[in-house]
This record gives sequence, structure tokens and C-alpha cells, in this order.
Amino acid sequence: MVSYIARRIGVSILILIAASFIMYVLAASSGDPLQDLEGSSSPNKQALIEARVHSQHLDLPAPVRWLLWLGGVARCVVPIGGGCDLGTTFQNQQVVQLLPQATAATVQLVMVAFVLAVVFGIALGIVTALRAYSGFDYSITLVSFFLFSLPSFLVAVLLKSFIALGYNNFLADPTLSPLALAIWGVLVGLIVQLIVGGAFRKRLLVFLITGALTALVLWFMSATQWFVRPSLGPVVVIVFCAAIGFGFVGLLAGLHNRKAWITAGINVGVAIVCYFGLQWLLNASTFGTLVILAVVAIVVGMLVGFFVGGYDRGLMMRIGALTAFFSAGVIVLDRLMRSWPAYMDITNDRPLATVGSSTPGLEGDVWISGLDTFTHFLLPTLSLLAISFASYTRYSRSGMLEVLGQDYVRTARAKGLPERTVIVRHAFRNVLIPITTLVATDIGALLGGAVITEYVFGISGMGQLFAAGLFRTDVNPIMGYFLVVAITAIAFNFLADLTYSVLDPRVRVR
Amino acid sequence: MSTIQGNLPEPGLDGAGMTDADTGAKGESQGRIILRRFLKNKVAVAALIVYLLVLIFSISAIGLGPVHGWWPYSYKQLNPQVNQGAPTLRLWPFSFGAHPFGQDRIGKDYFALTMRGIQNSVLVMIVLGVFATVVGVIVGAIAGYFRGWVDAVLMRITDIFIVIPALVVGAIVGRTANGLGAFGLAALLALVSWMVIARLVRSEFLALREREFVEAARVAGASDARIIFRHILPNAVGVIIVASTLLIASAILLETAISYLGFGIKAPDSSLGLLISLNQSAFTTRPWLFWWPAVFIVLLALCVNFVGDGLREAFDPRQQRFSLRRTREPEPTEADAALAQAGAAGPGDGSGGAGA
Repeated sequence: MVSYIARRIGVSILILIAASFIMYVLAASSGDPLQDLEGSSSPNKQALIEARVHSQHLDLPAPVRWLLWLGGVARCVVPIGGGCDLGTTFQNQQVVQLLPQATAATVQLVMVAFVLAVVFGIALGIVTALRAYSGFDYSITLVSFFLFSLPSFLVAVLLKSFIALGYNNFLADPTLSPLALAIWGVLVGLIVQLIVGGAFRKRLLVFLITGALTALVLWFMSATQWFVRPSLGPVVVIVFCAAIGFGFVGLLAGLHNRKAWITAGINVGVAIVCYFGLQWLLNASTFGTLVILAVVAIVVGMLVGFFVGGYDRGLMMRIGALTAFFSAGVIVLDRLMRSWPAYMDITNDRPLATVGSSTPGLEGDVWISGLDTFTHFLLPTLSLLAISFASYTRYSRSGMLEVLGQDYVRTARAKGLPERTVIVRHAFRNVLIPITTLVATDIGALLGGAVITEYVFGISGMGQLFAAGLFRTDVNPIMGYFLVVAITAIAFNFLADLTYSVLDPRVRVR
Repeated sequence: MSTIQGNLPEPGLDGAGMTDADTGAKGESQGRIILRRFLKNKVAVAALIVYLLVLIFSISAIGLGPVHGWWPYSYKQLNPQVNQGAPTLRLWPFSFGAHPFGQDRIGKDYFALTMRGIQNSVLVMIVLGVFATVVGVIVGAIAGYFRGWVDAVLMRITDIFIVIPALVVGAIVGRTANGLGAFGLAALLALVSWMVIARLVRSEFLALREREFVEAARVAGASDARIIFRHILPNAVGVIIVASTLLIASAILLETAISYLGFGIKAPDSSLGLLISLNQSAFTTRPWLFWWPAVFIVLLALCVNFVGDGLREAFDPRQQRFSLRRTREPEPTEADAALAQAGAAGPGDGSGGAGA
């Protein structure tokens, strides 16, 4: 194992060096680095050109410059004479200093989209596999093919033009017309009846009930000016927390499991008490205390599960932790929503942003800045989500279909296990094995693939660094970008192989 | 497809549960079986027809190269603005009008521009698909067939190319290829897109080279090249076709993305991505400048994706077969349950993979 890892790292470094050479030479020969200066009318044009030639070593051929660059990179790893040096941009900024900010912005952008895409993609894929060759399956297949075929810039431009402008305009007069209510009701009803499936009568009933309910809720929200002053309020918070507890019990333990009910019930109760008792703490919160509160919630949940115990203590702890964490999430969401009117005032009633990653000069507590991040990252996240989400749906659907045909699933069914146990414990875990690999591989690709989204939404992340560098044939920022993306890709590929061998004992690394 | 009879495209595919038609009991060749399975897939066939219709339409409209089509305007000429450049297309009663897709800011006919964009995008798809497949197949075949150090070297080279994100190399290559046009751009992009195919072909070859028919060919004195191209390759053709179709689908997205960033095909030539990039600022005033190329990008990519999916099912019917069996199968009977209970020990989570 150790020799495998050592060998793998050695090979990876060699691959990285060779790829960086190709990258450097390609980037350096892709255009004229002096183009902007030669076209300029500045009186000291000649001096500027000479300064750039001197600082970027443009008088040397590209392979030699690559060697110089490689020497700088080597000093990042081996501390000989001076620190890390990835060269400078044309504006004489150190790439080493630019990279951390850019990486942070990109990671911030990519993380949420990635997590959501994985969670929802897999969940939807599983559901479509369980309802294979039904109307729901075909609709989702069609939608995911459609999303596959959408170029990311198209999604981004559409979101900017429709969601951002449309929503901001809607907020100017936040009442839904009867027609809009009817459309939303029909839409939600159609989708839900597709998911539920079954006989025609049942579907019609589901359609009518959910459709009417949706229209009613939306009408209520519209009538109470909810879109301008959103909040959940105690009733909805209690309902949501209870639903979360119910959901996790039903999913992980089965509704007959009394211990699970007790665990979830205690946690939901604690959450509701906290909702009424801890608002003062939330008002004074910073980002750090919120993280601490989240950790506390998880620990409390696990403790409750531990003490309720029973024959399946681990399961109770999982249920407890998940219920507590998500209930806490509902409470935080409620608090966040109540800052919305104040945030609307700051942004002149046009809250959804189309460019940048934060409102310049924004002052406010953690809730205001949280909302600011939300409004800036909502659309880029959606556009990244739309694209990667589709592939996870497809993969987990086909994986689930394959696993459901295996003999051990048939055995589990045959010995009379409830369907929930068969799906969650026997099938789902095995579906996760290949998907874990896919997920790990995708992280590397995702970091590098956000170039277009960053470009369209004006987020100054790594993609921006790369695109701007390429427009000017400024090689050093391009190479900085490449280093980060390539190292992530290699590292996560490596991780994927290792996790695979851990998860699937049939696979052994050599 | 001159496949060796009796070899299914998927190694290790057991015949259990296959119908007569699937196994070719009527003595049909394998190509015919697959063709028939593909033709049964209505969506895929429809997608293929739509794709070809769009292609034929675009070629006949503005012609190809020096040949003129039936559309009077070229994508380069400037025309006086008609109706402030709004589209003149009418669906009922159907009429094209002077400029069915409207005109851009300087009066170019947008129909001609879009058609030219379709031609370029399709050209990129095909050239990239063919070149990348050829390179990938050669690299993968040699690596998988000869194994040893040849394999190691070729696969490390493949890794080098995989490390660099496609869009990044694409952008750099596109910028380098400035002025080479769609064909040059596609050929250069192919040089950085062949890796997936190479890996797939290699793993196919690694499995197939151990099979008896390869042994037989070798005993009969066939040369390495003959074994690779006449004996093994036809058996790997399913994997290759499916992978290259999916590559083609991603090719149009790559090309449009690069052109959108401004590193691909340049004006006065036209590309669907370039058209969107040039006109996105006019979205609120002249939305059609945005919509026409967008619709055609999605249409072309969607068609290729559906065709690829249809091919995948035609070549590898395992999933389909299984699902049909599952949906038609009655619930396990009590006898089955008793039998299974006798053989099952404890509710293990089954990760041991009994089916392996």
C-alpha cells in the first residue's frame, strides 16, 4: 500500500511537470504578449515594452521561460533561496498572492452547487430508478438530456435575463395574479402526481389536492406580502421540524421503529424550545458562533440518540444528528429571512445581483452579509447546478437499475425484508460505490470548469484569472490557474481510486 | 460490420434472458441486430432524422463553399434594415419574408448567419469526432494489445492530457488556431479530446486479447496488425461508437463555449456560440439575436445525445433487458422466498457482491 502511494505520487509529479510544459508552451505561443502595448499611443511605449520584456523574460524562448517558471514552483516545495515564486502578471502582481483569493472565490462558488448537485442528483436518480419506465422517469430523462445539451453560458445568460430581472421586477409589485396562482398550482400538481404515480384515480386526487394546496399557500403568501417580508413564523417552523424528524425516521429506520420516533421527537422538541429561547443569541451571532451552534446541534442530536440507544444505537445517533442539524437549519433560515426587508432597503429593492460576488461597501451583521452572499451566488450556483445535476441523475439511475437486478437484492426481497430496508440498506449503499469515485473525480473537473460561469457573472475567481491571462497572453496567471486545477484533479483522482478500494473489498490497489 | 460470428459485443455477456431476436437466432449478422435494436428506439431515430434535416436545411439554404443555396443573402453581405431588424418569419400563413430570423445591428441577414453557424458547428462536431476517435482508438489499441512498457508510456501520456481541463486547452488551442477556421479548430481540439476513447479502447483490448479467438488467430499466424484491426477492433466497435457519439455531443458545447469566450471561430465567419456572445448585450432590445442560435445549439446537442443513448442501448442491452424483466416479473413467490431464506445468512448489507 505504502509503495503504491509513493509510486503513484511520483508518477503524478512527473505527469504534472510534463503537462505544465505543454500548457506553458501552448499558452506562450497562443498570441503576442506585447499586442496591447504595441497598439498603445503612450509616449513611453518603447520603455513599457522593454520593461515587460525584461520582467517576463520575453527575450528568451518559451521552453527556457518554462524552466525558469518551474524553478520558481520548485521553491514552493523545497525551500532553497527565497520563497514560492509563480511569476508576476503584466501588472506586476505576484501570482502567489492572487491565487489564494481567486481559489477562495471559486471554491465558494463551486462548493454549494456541487453539494446540492450530488445530493439532489443522486436522490432524483434513485427515485427515477425505482419508478423506471414510468411517466416520471421519462420526464426526468427528458429534462436531464435537455440540461446535458445546454451550454453553460446559455444557462447563465438566461438566468440573468429571466430570473434576476424578472424577480426584481416582481418584487416591485409582489402580488401573484389568479392566473399565476393557477399556473403554479397546475405545475406543482402535475409534478407531484408524476412522482407519486399509481392508478389514474389516485393520481388525479393527488394532482387536485397538491395543486389546490399550492395555489392556496401562494395566495396566502401573496396576500400577506410574504415576498417582501418573508419569515417562517413559529407554526411553520414547528411543522418543518416535525416533517424533518418524520422524514428521517421514515427513511432511515422505518415508521414502526418506536426508539427512532423517540429520538427524533426529543430532538424536534429541543429544536422548538431553542427556537423560542435562543433568538437573542442568533441576533448577536457571527459566522463563527453559527458554526459552533451547528456543531452543538449535531452533538446534542447524537447524544440523544446515544441515550435512547436500543439495539441499533448507531442508527439512532445518525437519526438524532440529522434531525437536530436540519431543524437548526430551519431556525437559522427563519432568522435569515427576517433580515430580508433590511437587505431590500440596502439594495434599493432590487436584491438579486447579476454580477460580482458581493455588494461593494456593504455594512451589516452576519445575516445581512449572508443574504448578500446568497443573492450574489444564487444564479451562478443555479447555472452550475443545472448542468452537473443532470449527469448525477443519469449515473445514479443506471447504477440503481443495475444493482436492483443483482442477486443479493433479490435475496433481500425474497427473505421478506421491507422494501425500505432493501432499497436503503442493500441497494443504495452499493450504488454509492461507483458514484463516490465519480464525485471525487468531478471535484477536480468542477474547479476548472467554472470558467464560463465566472466569466458571465463577473466573479473574480480562478476562471477570471485564466481568461484574463489568456486574452493578454499573460502566461503566469494561466499557469497559476493550471497548477491549482491540475493538482486538485490529480489529488482527487488518487483519492477516488483509494476510496474505491476501501469501499469495495473486491478491488485491491497494487 | 464484419464481426466474427458468435462473439457478442460485450465480453462476459451471458445469453440468459435474451429473446431470439436479441441473440440473432435467425442467423442475422450482428450489425443487423444492432441496427434493428436502434431502429426500435423511436426517440433516437427521430433525433437522427431531425439532426440530418437541420444539416440538409442549412446546407441547401446558403450552400457550401462556392456553391450557392436557395437563400438570396450571404452571411457576409450587409443589407438595409427591414422593420428595424425584427424577424419576418410567419408561421401562419407560412412565409419567410425578407429576413426570417431578423438582422443584426449592422444589417447582416441573421438567417444566413445562423445557417452558417450550424454548418460550422456540425463541421466541428464531425471533424473532432472522427479525428479524436481515430487517435483514441490507435493509442488505446496499441496500449491494450501490447501491454507492458508500451502501455505504461501511452497511458502516462494520456494522463498528461487528462490533467489539463478541456475548456482550457480548447481556449488556448482556439486562440493559437486563430484564422485556421472551423476545420483547423476542430482538428486541433481533437488532439486534446481523444483521451476518454483511448482509455475505453484500452480496457476493451485488455479484456478481448485474452479471448480464444485471438489465440486462434495468433496460432494461425496472423500478424499483430491483423489481429488488432481485423479480430479485436470489430468486437470493440460498440464501445467506440457510443463513446464517440457522446464525444460529439460534448464537442458542440466545447466549440460554442470557446467561441463564446472569443477564442474560437471569429467574425466575419459565424458560429452559434459566437453569435450568442456577440449579441447577448442586445438581449432585452433584440431577443431574437439570442434565441435563434440558442435554439439550434440545444437542438443539435439534444439530437446527438439522444442518438448516443439509442446507440448505447442498442449495443449494450443489459440495462434495458433487466428493467423490462423487472417490470414484468411477478412478485417473488413463497417458494422463492423460502429458497432464499435457506441460503441467506443474516441481513448483511450485501457489499460482498455475491454476483461478482
